[in-house]
Amino acid sequence: MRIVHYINQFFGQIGGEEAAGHPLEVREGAMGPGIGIQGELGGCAQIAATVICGDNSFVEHEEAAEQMKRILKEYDAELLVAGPAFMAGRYGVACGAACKAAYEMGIPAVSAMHPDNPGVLMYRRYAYIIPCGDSARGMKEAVGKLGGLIRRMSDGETIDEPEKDGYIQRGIRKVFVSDRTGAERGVQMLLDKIAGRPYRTELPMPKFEKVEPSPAIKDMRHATIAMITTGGLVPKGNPDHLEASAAMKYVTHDFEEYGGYTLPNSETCHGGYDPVYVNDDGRRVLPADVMKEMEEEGVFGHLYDKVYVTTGTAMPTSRASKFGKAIAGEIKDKVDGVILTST
Amino acid sequence: MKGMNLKLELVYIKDIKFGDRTYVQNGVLTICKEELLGKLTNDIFSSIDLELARPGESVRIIPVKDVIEPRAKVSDAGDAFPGVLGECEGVGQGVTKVLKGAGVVTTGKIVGFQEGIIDMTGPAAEYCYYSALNNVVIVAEVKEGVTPAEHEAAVRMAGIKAAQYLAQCAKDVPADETEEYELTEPAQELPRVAVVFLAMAQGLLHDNYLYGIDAKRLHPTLLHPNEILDGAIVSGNCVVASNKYTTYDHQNNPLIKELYKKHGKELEFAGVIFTPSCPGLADKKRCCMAAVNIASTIKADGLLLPEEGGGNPEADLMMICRMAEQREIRTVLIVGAIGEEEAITDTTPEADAVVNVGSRIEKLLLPKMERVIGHEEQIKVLAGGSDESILPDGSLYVTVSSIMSMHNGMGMTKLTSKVY
Repeated sequence: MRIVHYINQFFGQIGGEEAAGHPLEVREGAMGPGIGIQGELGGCAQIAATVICGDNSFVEHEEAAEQMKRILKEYDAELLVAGPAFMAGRYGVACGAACKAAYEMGIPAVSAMHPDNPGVLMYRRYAYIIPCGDSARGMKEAVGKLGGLIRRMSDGETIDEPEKDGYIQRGIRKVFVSDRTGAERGVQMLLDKIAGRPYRTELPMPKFEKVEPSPAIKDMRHATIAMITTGGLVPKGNPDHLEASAAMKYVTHDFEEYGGYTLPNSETCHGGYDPVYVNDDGRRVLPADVMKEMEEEGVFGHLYDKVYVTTGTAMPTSRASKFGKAIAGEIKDKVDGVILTST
Repeated sequence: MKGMNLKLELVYIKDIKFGDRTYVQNGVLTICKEELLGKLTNDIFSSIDLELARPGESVRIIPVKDVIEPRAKVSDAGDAFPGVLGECEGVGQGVTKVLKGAGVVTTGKIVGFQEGIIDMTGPAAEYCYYSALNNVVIVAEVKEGVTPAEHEAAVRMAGIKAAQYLAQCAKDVPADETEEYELTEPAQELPRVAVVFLAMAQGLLHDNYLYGIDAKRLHPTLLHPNEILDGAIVSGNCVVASNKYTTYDHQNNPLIKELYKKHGKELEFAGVIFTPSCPGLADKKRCCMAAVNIASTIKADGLLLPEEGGGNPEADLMMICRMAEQREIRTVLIVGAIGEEEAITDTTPEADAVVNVGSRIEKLLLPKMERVIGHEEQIKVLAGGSDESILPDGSLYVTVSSIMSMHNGMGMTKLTSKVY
């Protein structure tokens, strides 16, 4: 197995903080912590090259990731090793970004960081990150663990159990075939639970992010209010081809496209509810006429002309929050409040 | 006391073909097309036709509405689809003939967005147990101006009628195997286990029928498992194709079969609590409370809680789970995952035992098939498809949610998922 190893200016023996702007460079073979890692690997894998880059330099220069990809290609790398980065924040983020570059090329990556390193939170998806101590005092242990994991990878072992395999959960869901049907597993799990025997859930309950409500709008009479819906209400013909389920996008339409505030030219493309009643009258999902009346009565200042629409069915919450952030970014300075209608 | 005894006489079907009359011989189901079509006429159909799809053939059926196992009651009274076609007599008792290995599949222009795909070969076939059936496919199109509800009902009834007709024509064929279902009195005290069977009751393409009654009009009710194995539930539901329970799935409910296997040995099967899963919160509260009350009444020690669909019914699941656990009735949930770490839309701390039957967000490349039964271009608007789903070479790139019953909450398949 051919390895490219990524380290920072400090472990590359170029310098400390004063060398944090050191541009990305590549050297043949192993050096710094790579020598220890190579020692753990015996003959099963070789560090073909070491990439050294100043922490600021990697994080601040967008082209660093592209450079990384070119080097991985040039050395025909089968694995990227990054770090260990311990508790060093910028180094952790740079290691993570390097791992992401490898991931995008379909090359597996491993790293080692303290679990609180920001690089873990930002980039755990792209690499097997081994938890390690907060400083280079933990080097020996981290190198030993990295070596163990790399040896198993070079043997072609499947690494997919965070606890057993000793890495930080990447957060990627993977489908696989069990040895028993869901019905068989379910009945057995229930019998174990009733009898007080140990059992293991196959879907730990997620902990949802709590959203802090914004402060109340003080001056409603001058406030601009937008409407957002997850009810899939689109102009007839669904011109932007919003998906019926598990939508990959949100779309925007103005009221004119819906034929005005009574929405005569609307339909739903939502695949999760009985569409008959909404197709009969789109206001059941988006009460735009009532909003317009309230605007005219002066309850609030102005109804924002654009409606943001997606389909909520089979929408992973992570994607929904991404959409939410993107929409908020678009309307932030134009809108004071939002009415969100669901189904 | 005499219990209910149901004998399913299985006649194995290894091939299907069209012929001059409808009969089964040496495992081959021969179908008289004209006679069967004559049974399916309905004024609202502009056209109706039959096609055959055998395992391994390069055939795609899309959009699929329902799959039904051909069955007929052999006993003197009753019907294999009680309350829908025949009267409610002797359900869950006596003898029922089953054409095992055959399926009736309904297709035709899309009704909603939730119908799905059956590929008879290729990667989707590996995950779809209907691909292993010899399928008689009804292609029914409706006239202009027909409402979606009329369309759905007409196609549903055509499927049921065809399934009944095919099995009736094989009533006298000797069984290859007989399965017997009876809840005998256990010799020892065993944990009492029931299923709370949530059934979608939410409108067009989200409905189920118990003895022909729309589940929206029902309050939770206790059923003998034999009633379900003997056709008491007919599906009018498509939710998302991969999460759907077809009528075939109800007839072959794997949870009921698994509980039967362990009945009298490791557990006592205490019954099935049929529970409508309604859209509104007040109805959800009523039905969930009633389901747990029935569980208390029948002194259940544990409940299996399979989910039909995803998202909305998770509110019902969690409510039932919480209430049951508070009464020290143990629960196991069976769900599909949506998304990655946050794979479910509602939670409760008591839901600490969950079986996961796979993930809907996986994508699959389905190669072009030589023959398409139905309307392939409708993948663009089906749940699981998109406007970009049809690739230039004619293959389909879809999420697995478009593949029929792949993540069936009853636990029909061995699929599961985990976060790594």
